[in-house]
Amino acid sequence: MTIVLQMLETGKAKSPIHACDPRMKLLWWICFIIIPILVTNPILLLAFTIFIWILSGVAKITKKMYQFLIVTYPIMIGFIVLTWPFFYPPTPDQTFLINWSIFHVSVEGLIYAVAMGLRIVLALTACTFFVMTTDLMDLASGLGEFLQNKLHISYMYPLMVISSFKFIPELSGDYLLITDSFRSRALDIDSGSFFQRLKKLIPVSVPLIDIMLRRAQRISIALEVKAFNVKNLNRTFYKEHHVCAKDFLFLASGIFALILSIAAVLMNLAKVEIFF
Amino acid sequence: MNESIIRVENLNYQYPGRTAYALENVTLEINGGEFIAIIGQNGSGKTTLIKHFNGLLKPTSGKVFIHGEETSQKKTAELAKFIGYVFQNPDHQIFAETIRDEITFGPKNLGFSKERIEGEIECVLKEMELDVALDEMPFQLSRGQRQRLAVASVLAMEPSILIIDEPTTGQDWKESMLLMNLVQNLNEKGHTCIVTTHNMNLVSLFARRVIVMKSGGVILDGNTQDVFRQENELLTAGIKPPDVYLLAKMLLPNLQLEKPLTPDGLAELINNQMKLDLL
Amino acid sequence: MSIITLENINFLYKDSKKPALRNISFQINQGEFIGIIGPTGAGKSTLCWTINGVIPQIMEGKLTGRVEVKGLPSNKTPVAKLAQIIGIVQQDAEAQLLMTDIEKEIVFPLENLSLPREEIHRRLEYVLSLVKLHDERHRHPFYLSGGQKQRVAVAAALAMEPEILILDEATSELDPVGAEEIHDLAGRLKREGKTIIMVEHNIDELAKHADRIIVMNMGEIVRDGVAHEILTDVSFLQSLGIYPPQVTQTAFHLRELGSMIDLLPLNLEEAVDFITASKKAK
Repeated sequence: MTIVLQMLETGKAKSPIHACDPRMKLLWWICFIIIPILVTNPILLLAFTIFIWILSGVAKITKKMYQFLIVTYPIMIGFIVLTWPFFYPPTPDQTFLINWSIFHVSVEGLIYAVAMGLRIVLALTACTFFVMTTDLMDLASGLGEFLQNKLHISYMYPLMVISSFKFIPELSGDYLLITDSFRSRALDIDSGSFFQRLKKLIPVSVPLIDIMLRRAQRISIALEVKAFNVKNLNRTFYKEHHVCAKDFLFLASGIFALILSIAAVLMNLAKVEIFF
Repeated sequence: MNESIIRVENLNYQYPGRTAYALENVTLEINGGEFIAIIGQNGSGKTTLIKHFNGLLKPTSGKVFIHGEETSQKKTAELAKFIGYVFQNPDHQIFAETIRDEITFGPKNLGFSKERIEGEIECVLKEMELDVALDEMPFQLSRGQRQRLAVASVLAMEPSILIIDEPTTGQDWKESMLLMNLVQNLNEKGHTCIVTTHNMNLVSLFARRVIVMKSGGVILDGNTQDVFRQENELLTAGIKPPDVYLLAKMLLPNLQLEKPLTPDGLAELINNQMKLDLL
Repeated sequence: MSIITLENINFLYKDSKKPALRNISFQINQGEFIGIIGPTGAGKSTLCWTINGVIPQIMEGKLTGRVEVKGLPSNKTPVAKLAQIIGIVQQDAEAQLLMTDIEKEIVFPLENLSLPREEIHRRLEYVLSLVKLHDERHRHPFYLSGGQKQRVAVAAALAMEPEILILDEATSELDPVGAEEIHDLAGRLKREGKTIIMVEHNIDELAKHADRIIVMNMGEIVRDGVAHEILTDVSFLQSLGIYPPQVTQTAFHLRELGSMIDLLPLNLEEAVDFITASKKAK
């Protein structure tokens, strides 16, 4: 899973946005997750999406985002945009393009499908932007600090998240070695139907789980030797996070977009139905 | 004369997503019955090369032939008929609840008959000196025993070629010697044995031919004793020949070697030289 | 000055019938470099864990006898406290590294100890330069070589500023380049005054730095003495299935064939000197 590693690496690049406090970026991201829930107006959705693409230029990740999203957009929205028009409930006041037995496709249905697709596009774009500009590990430890010092919650949960980002790439390396060893013993893992292949993976899971369990035991010893104590709520956090004006400016962009959306809802401009 | 059973022609390999080539222009031939050690630093391409032999990797360019057939057209599962590949860590391979199931897994996949499989079990347990009950759990064996079980499980498929990747990592000298002696027995029975290792002492004791790799290419390929005498070349590949060769070079610079050198062997040679000097 | 004391240690793992350690008694002095050798199953790792308190506090079993580290009893002193006196690095680098980059790995135990930031910073910089990984500090361990990973493990252990470092087969899974990095590091730490305990199969490397060797077999200490003496005792080592240095073996055989070699060599330079001298003596 080099994807996991690449995700971690892009978050460490240098740009004005990368330098922002990860917790601000988290809040910004939350804004852009709420917006597609509130808004279905395709014009607004498109505008916000374009805004994030502009920000990607500031963060110098436009090319990377493009490489990822050019593949992911179609996968995520293709199904919806292609099938939804057929399921949009037909009513007499619609302008129909196809109206034959059970197949009803209207202009309204098409627009609606596009709007649904754009909701996903906005959420996806915001998520990708967030992951590519944030050092996720810093975020986890920053959140950990907040959880411990303000909410008196142990660092254990952020620690588990961070450690999984360390172990998942290694486990995937182990998985590759294990499947190779089975291929070498004449087990053709790569052929057959989906279920046949799944069945072949059963023997493969045994060494993998065994390795995970052995490592888990060693890890728990290591944690204790490294003085990790779940009950310690005075733990130091080495990385310092200073929130500055730039961070507020960035967050403001997200909050502004959210306020716009709420205003649109209140002014009855947020729904796609206004175009019908 | 043995015809070559592994033939590599201008092999180049690039891992997906990387710009550097892991193997560059490798050409070599391996004949039946050889005992070869492939040595080189981590990252030199040793493992990448041997993975091409059983089709786990397919050439980016160039060709690899096993028994005259190109590997690029074959699946590893098919090539398993001819080539057994034992991985460095037996725990990446062992999965079964009983030793019997572990050993019979490969042969079953190859479609061996029941009688043939039963015969195999007895045979390989003896070959690998595994004095264990067939219904014992593999996980209860020691590391050395698990390593031998891994070899036994691959051997049960009756491959003519045996590739073993770093067989002695994490084992003490006694266990390493036991395993290598058993592999030597297999070689004497006709199996072609290819071993990758970092342990130069073992190489000098068992391998008759040594292939040295550096940065994706083969820089030395020949008799063990000839390769180990090329100290400077080996140094560029980050390899130190066994001390016995370095000592021989300093004390007996004009020595001609017909077979690999051992400490006892060197002592004899020095002693003979001293006797000659006295005359 | 004795820094570690073991007296009549016997240990039986839970659910095991055979004792893993039998009648172990010895003392280690400050600044010594001790090599522990012996065949697999001799109890070397068990011994290491008994010293740093993992046995019996984390790994269960029946422990009798006395283990003291700087006066503190290992069986009762919290493992985290002992870790600030004895650091340990083991064979499997993967299971010792928990974080997504080197800096976080080194800083992790210090954060757990609730040390102030300045102190953490000081130790981090010191330890990074000691293991020579300053430039790699933000790399994910996935991208590191085996030798580098072990150096990180050493760094993380040293961050807790222990006086003693145990290297338990730390080089077993490394290639010769990686192994040499660790051995060089051990030598540097010795010069800095640390007490080092190294469990190792490679006698040649051990011979470079060890002052004293403890030989274990089947849970017992079978010999404890001066490194040069033990490591050149070819028949003794071979009887335990340990491979003596090739130069030592060569000189040993020469001696059997009649050469006047009094002291056996442990390395190439000694071998050339001693053998040449014996030729002249003839």
